[in-house]
Amino acid sequence: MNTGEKPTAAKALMLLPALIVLGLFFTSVILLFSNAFVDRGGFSLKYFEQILSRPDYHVVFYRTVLTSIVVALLAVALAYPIALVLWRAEKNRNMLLIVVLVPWLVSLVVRTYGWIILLGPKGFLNAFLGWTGIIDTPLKLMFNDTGIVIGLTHVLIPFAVISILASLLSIEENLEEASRVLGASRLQTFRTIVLPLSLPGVFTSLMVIYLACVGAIVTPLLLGGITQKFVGSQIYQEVMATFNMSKAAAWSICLLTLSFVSLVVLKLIERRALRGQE
Amino acid sequence: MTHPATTQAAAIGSIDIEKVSKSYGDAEVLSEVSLSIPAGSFLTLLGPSGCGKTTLLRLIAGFIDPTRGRIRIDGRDMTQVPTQKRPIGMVFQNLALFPHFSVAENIAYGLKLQRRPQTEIAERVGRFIQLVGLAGLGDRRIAQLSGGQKQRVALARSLVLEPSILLLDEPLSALDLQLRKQLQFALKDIQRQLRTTFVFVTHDQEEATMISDRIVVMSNGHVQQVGSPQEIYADPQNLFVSKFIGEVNELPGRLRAAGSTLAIETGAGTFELPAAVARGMNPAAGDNVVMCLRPEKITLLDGGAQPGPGMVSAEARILDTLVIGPLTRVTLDVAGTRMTAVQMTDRLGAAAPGERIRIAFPADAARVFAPLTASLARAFGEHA
Repeated sequence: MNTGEKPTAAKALMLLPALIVLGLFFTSVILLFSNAFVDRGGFSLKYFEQILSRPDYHVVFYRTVLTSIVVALLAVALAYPIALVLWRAEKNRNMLLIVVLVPWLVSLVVRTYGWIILLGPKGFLNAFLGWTGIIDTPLKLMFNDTGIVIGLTHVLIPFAVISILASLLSIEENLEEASRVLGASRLQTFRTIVLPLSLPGVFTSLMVIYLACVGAIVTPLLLGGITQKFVGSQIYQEVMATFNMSKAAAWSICLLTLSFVSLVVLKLIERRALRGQE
Repeated sequence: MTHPATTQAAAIGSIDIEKVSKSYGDAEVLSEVSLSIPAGSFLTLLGPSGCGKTTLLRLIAGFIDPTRGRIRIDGRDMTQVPTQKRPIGMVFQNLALFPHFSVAENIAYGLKLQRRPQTEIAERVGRFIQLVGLAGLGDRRIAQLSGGQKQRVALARSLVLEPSILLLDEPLSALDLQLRKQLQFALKDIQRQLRTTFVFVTHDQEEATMISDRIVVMSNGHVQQVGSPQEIYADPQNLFVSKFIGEVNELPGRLRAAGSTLAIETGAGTFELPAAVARGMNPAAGDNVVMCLRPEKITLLDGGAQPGPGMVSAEARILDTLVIGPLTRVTLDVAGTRMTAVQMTDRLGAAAPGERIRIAFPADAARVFAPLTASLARAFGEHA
């Protein structure tokens, strides 16, 4: 945008902090990546070969992608009705939004420990179900993929609520009434007008949540079992346990590539779904 | 066999509003409104913003339910009938076109919901695109249309279903004057062709008088007057209607005597008028009243000309003249009160600012009303 003002030294100075941050960011990323290609002082693809050839590592990738897809779909499915309620509640919308966002006031680690208390073998939920006699043996709700899905979905739902709500709020006033007057029931109106027009928010949520899941560390570490590794927790382990920075860097590059490919696929799906919408 | 409900058969397209009230909490936006809208008429709900006209329209559409009272369409009680089952179409102020559909898809929407055959849908959509003058634009996206074109899509989308009633909520208010005039004629033309009942909401009195067969003047949730544009202009039943429609000289005053003639003392002098000019009040001596006179009823008397029989006259001084083509507006000072007269320019003679003359008006052309209540005065931004 051309505001017609001349660039001044003062303005250049104001850009400086941003430049420093960006500079540090790219330097660190480049250093990290270059690590991945170096072994004993020379260029090597050894770490990539290690990662890509081991079947147990393939499982880590599959699990990460599959779990992320499940979490993204589940979170959006659960968030959509919440967003609808907020959209309808004109008077109390801000208050309800705060309720949705309250979990974010508690640190991720604390929240995840909260889930351990609820979901553990001797946790609240199993104790309650055992007491009522519905189950004899405790349900395995954590230290497996179920635990990871529950934990991640809970953390990420507010993202979906916010972006779906934003989409709903951008729907022009009276569109629903116009549809009703033209003979559509409430359900038909939702299907043909509201849902299609809120899809941009749905796709944004899917994308944000999927990407957040693929890189998740804390939740898989705490709620997943020792064998339920995510790419994120795998990297964490390489750095913190085996101190193999080069391998961690190679993992990161693989993760980044995976995210990028997923993003492209999702964008293609979105374009098909939103064909005709500006 | 006769059913009691069918003995009073009503024409398709008629609306009967029976003592309808609508309140939000303590605020009553409509109170005991009763109105009969005949089939095939072009009726306008006219009033300042907040008068309840849009609320009445939304009640007819079924978006909201009346707090009390009943609405019948075609003689059928609509209380339990949801919007989508009512035989109505509606054009919204913001048009409410579906942005993810093309022009043709917008127009086809209602037909698809009725599960009409594909060939019929295509044929009717094509016909209505023609009718509203959008030929060749069927594949356009809504965002690619101009304001006037969007208006026409909104109209076609409703009319293609051939509703017996079309509700229009200030659909022209966002357009510039030129386009607005053009679409007013288009609307009237379409209404005449289709004989659909049009219920049109506007706050623009000029638009209302141009476009409609019948006008309902509303204010503060009450119907003030119902009538043809001529009736409303020529014979307003209260001061609100008189002020709201057209221009009027307003002379607040007091009744000195009230019998077969009314003697009204105003700032412009005391006038004797027949008792029949009082509207919406029982005149009694001592009442505060407002005398109203349309500017075109005032004649400037040439030189020593005498007022004719039945005319009331007064001394005046010309303050200013303004020629607007065939008509001239003359600003007058009548005993310290400012009044406006409108004369045919060619009959004005040598009237010039500063000149002293006599003015006259037919005694029965004036109207005498009770002053506005405080709440009605607020509609004009006045303090009573």
